[in-house]
Amino acid sequence: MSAPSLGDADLLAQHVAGDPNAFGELVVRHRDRMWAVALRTLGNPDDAADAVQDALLSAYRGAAGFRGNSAVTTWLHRIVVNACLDLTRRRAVRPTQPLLIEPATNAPDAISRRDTAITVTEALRSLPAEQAAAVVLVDIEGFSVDEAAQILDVPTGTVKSRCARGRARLAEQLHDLDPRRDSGTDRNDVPSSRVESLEPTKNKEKK
Amino acid sequence: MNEAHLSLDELAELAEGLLARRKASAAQAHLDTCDACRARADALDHTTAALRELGPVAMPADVVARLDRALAGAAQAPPGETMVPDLGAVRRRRRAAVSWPYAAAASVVAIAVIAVGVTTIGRHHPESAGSSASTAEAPLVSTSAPSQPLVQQESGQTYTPTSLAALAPQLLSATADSAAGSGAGGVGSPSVLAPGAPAPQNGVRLGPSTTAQTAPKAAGALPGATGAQEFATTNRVPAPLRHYADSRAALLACAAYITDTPHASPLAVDFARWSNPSAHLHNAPSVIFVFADPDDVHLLDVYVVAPTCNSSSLRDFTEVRRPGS
Repeated sequence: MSAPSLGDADLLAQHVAGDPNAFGELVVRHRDRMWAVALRTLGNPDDAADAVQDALLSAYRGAAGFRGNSAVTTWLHRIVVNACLDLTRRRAVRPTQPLLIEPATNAPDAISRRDTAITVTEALRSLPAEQAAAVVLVDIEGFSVDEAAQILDVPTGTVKSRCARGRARLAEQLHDLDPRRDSGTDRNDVPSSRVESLEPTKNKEKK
Repeated sequence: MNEAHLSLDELAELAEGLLARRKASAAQAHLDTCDACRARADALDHTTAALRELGPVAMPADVVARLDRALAGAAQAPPGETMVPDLGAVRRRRRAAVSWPYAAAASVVAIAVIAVGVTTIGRHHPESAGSSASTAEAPLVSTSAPSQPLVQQESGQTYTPTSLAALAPQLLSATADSAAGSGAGGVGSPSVLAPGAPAPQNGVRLGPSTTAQTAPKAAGALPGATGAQEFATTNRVPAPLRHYADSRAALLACAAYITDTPHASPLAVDFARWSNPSAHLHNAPSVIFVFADPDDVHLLDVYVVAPTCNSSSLRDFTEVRRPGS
């Protein structure tokens, strides 16, 4: 708060130079966005808190490694997303437990739409983490495909493909659609939560 | 016209420009004439729009408080340790069968050995004491990959963040060379330890006497190679690392601690030095550990560890491609 005019890169440089307040200011600026990314990628507040803490601690310690050839926000998102994906890989061996996510406060369209059986945020939890991360970065956070590719450290084509498949799966659930046929009304086995759909969904990604 | 309906995946890929030109124009032509598919395409558009309309989320106050505490803790770390990877983060990356600190387990095992020894000797069954003791001690020397010997080097050379990724995998080629008996001897003199080889006595270097079947020619060149002391004449091991060079149990306990894996079995170690100007470290005695990556057979995990081997001892961590993969 003390130096609102400073850019993120300046703050990071001051932190590396030993300014004890600079990193805290960076955190204040970006924590809500980090939180949103982690929460929507992981679908679980406890995991999101773990991932954000891991990420910000490693950003704190690794600040000297920031090369300056990308925006600080890109760099921070990269660290957060990596922490989320790492955490998902570690969780992969364990059974997932049912956890509720608070619905997004600001999504009147999604909530009011009559044919939407579940919210976008709930549906996001059914995606494999890599797809969820791509969708969160591009569609929700508004990063360009190029920026998302930098953050995820994958080619742009991979980002597009993960977004496309993620959106398809979300549409399937939000609109109660069959993924292949247009018989949207006679399906009654649409997964209604991540608990039911997580494992089969993850396995299908390899096809 | 293409009569097959388009899958949601195909529709999403069409919208994202991922379909090949011919396939895309066929899909577009179908879409223009098929109400059902157009409805599905609309549903996709609605989905993307709903995602874009998701608003910001504020980090809850309890998470903010937790973060502040964690960062305050990080701020108290000594400045020389602030530019290095976080051991906690690295450890959590590895699959851990058991999560308690290995040091505690090691002392429990040591106590168990003593207790077994005392009671059985009291009953005049020394053989059973011996076998019980070795059973109890098994976690210290058993490896998760029994066919993989540990190559131990004492190069004393200085690694840097730049050279680490190139030099560390070479420790493994020293393994191969030694096992083949060619004794090419890259950096330092590798001593290859068969899995389960007993830890040496205090003050005696790990040497040919414990590794007769795989001892490198470099060691054999010494007159009277059966004498471990002669092999121990290298004094390239920085003094603070002598403890680990002398005690395989100590070495493995440290390996277990840094990886948070009770039976961690490094593929190679080097008693060496570490320079990293950005962390103000110059020729700091350090153990280089090379492990197989638990998730990817093509990767090696390389740890640079300070002699203290505690939570602030990780000086660097990197994943490198396994040679030949």
